[in-house]
Amino acid sequence: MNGLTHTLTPFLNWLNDSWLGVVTRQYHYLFTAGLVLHFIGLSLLMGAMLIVDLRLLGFPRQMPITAAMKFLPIAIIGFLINLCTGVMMVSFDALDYWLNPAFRVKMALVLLAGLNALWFTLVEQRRVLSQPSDQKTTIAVRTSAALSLLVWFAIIFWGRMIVAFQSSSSF
Amino acid sequence: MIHFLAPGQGVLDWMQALPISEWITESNWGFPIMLVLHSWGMAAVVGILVMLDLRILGLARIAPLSAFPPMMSLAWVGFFINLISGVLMFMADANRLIVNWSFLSKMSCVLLGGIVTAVLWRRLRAAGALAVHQSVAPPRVAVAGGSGVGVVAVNSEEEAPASVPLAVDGSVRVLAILSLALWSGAILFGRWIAYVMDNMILHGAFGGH
Repeated sequence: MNGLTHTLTPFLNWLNDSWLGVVTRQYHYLFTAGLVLHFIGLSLLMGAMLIVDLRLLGFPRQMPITAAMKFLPIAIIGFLINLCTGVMMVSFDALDYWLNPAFRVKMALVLLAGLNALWFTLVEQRRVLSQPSDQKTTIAVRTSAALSLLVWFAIIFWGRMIVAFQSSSSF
Repeated sequence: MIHFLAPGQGVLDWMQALPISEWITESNWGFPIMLVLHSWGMAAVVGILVMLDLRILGLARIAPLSAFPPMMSLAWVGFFINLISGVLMFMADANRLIVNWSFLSKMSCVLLGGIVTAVLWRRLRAAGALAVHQSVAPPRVAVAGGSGVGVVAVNSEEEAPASVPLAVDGSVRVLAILSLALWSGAILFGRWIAYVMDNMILHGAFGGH
């Protein structure tokens, strides 16, 4: 058992034994419903991110940047749906998820996506919104947008890999 | 149990015996790779179609609908990724999927979702909402008043189509809601396929496993 696992074990146990974990294990359909909602949240998040990030990269030109950015609340709603359903599914067997390498990579990438989004929001967003729509975005903004798309698609990849890595595939 | 499908049986067996089908079912990575492709494709096709539906229902009204045709091309890319990965996954397990009610429901949702989206897209085009009226300037007028499906959201007032029939507004909204419901249904039944499969195996529908 490595250091991080040791540190996290009390939290993982707490989540696992919480009412959420108990209820999720008791009613398997809740887990299934969580999974369905996780994919609906994914569609909302990815649809909005495609519009925002592609526009920051310059596509399609007909879309004003300010208009593309109006889709961001949908991305946030999608993310929150997936955060809630994700926590619920992890509570089903918290330690099993934590020990799954695909899950760890996915969580690290979610963190990276979050930091990237935070940096964009705090540092670049204001300037991007005030610049003329036909003006090219800065290289920093385009890098951030490309990274965002890359990381979100990688998150989908590693999310799918979780089951592939699961020893006892009950789902 | 499935004798009514007997004439097609040979085709299903043939599909399942293909090398690619064997790779998908037997190898460690065949099936996960197909599922990854299917999820990526879904992110593009469902993601973008849902954004279009939400735009029609009033979200981001300053976004011109004329910016959506390029996004639609991307949705097509997603659709073809899912068509290919979907057909391959079907071939690998054809005999069981053809009697899986969740799979059949999903296919119905996808088919209807496609039809609804096609009709919706034609309505927008017919109303002139997809044409680019002006180079790139941001729209000064979002959408007129509350009528605003955005069929009238063009980049400049003077070039707006003289009259956009209001009947289009209401029905396009209904189509957008239908589209949202059908794509959600496709996701729901898609996820459910595996559970139906497990139950069928549990109840010995396939001569014991």
